[in-house]
Amino acid sequence: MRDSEDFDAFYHATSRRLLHQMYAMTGNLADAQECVQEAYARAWQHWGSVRNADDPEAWLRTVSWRIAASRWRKARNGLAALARNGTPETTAPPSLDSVALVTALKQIPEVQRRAIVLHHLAGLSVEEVARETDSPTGTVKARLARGRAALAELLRDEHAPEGGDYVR
Amino acid sequence: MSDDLSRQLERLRADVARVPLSPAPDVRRRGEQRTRRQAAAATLAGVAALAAIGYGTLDLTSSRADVQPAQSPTARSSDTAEPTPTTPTAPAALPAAVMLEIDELIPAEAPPPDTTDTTDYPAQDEGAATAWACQASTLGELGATSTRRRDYEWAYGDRGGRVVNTGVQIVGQFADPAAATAAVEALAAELKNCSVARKLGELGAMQTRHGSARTWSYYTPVQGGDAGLWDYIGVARSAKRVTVVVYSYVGMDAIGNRLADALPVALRRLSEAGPSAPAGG
Repeated sequence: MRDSEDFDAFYHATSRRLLHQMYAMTGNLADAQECVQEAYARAWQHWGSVRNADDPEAWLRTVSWRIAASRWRKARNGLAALARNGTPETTAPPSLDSVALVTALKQIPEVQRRAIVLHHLAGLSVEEVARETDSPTGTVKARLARGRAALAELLRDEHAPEGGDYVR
Repeated sequence: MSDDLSRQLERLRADVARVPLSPAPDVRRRGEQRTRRQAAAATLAGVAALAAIGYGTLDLTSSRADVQPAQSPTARSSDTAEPTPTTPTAPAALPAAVMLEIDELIPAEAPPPDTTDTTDYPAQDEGAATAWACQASTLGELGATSTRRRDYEWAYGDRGGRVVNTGVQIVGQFADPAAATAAVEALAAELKNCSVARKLGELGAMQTRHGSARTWSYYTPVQGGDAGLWDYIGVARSAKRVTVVVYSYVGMDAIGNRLADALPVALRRLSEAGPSAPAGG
């Protein structure tokens, strides 16, 4: 099947990159894994049109992000968001080095986190981030600046000696 | 900070490298299952709606179509439009306070739904309709002098992954507690003998200050699909008032514990309400 070969090649080429981005966005490996695989399952449902989209990977990113946002909404009141699809495969815990960064990312506003991940991790230009998030470029620049400043502050606090001032 | 941030983000790749991703064929299978599930859900949502209204003529699955009770649900629906010997000529209206609010049906631990809707049918004929496929007799036929009905719907997700829960409550007022008790027993017998859906079991029974309540769960598989119709039925009596509550959802898995938890609480509230719940509400 030509379609399945196309899809499989696309999956192999892009899935781990998307997983990386979703991990930075969600701060949770298992959540990122589940969102990404669900997004690709949906992509296969609409593969005829997704394949011919201007940027199929952007489509996957947007769908993954929406799935993650939906899961957060559902998880707010304690619903196991995985109930319908089963639990994800066991994943290794994040490295200790990652914990501070992931923790800091989770503390900044969602719109800033998304802009940072798209720009600094997915490698999108400010204009491309603006298109993907449906926001003006000025807004994206402001989100990037504020997000970076907030992360710098959070990471500095993270490394500050307990109970004392951070000394450069 | 910018380059430094990019480098730090890049380091997360080491964590990601250890995460297993399903093989591409498994992902495709998941997508295909999703398509089938959605098709089944779209069909069954219609079934659930029809069942809620009174189980009209259905030809969805052989399991349902093959099991036609001697007195078919179709006939039953039309029966409700006709006066019966037990239907009073001037029934007293039941107060709104005997009806559940939609929040009482949604389990406490469930997330806030994306959409909710309730529809009231205070008219006698509509209220006399059955609440579920296995309820063969309307409350009017069982002797209720007055009935009232409310339909509920709460849903999650968008069109691509929409999960819809539906509920129905029908309340009947009987001449005395003995008549109400007899109606409950008749309803329980009908549910026990249900051949339309597979009975999963009785969830529980409780005695309350003014009466009692019982709950059951049922499942109806759909041929050729991964999803099925899950139904939770409750019957409560409070003095001379009987309430039938049904709620249903379409899915692959039983999330019954969450759904079933809300039902006894709601029924207990109605059972404890006493013989003369205040009007209004």
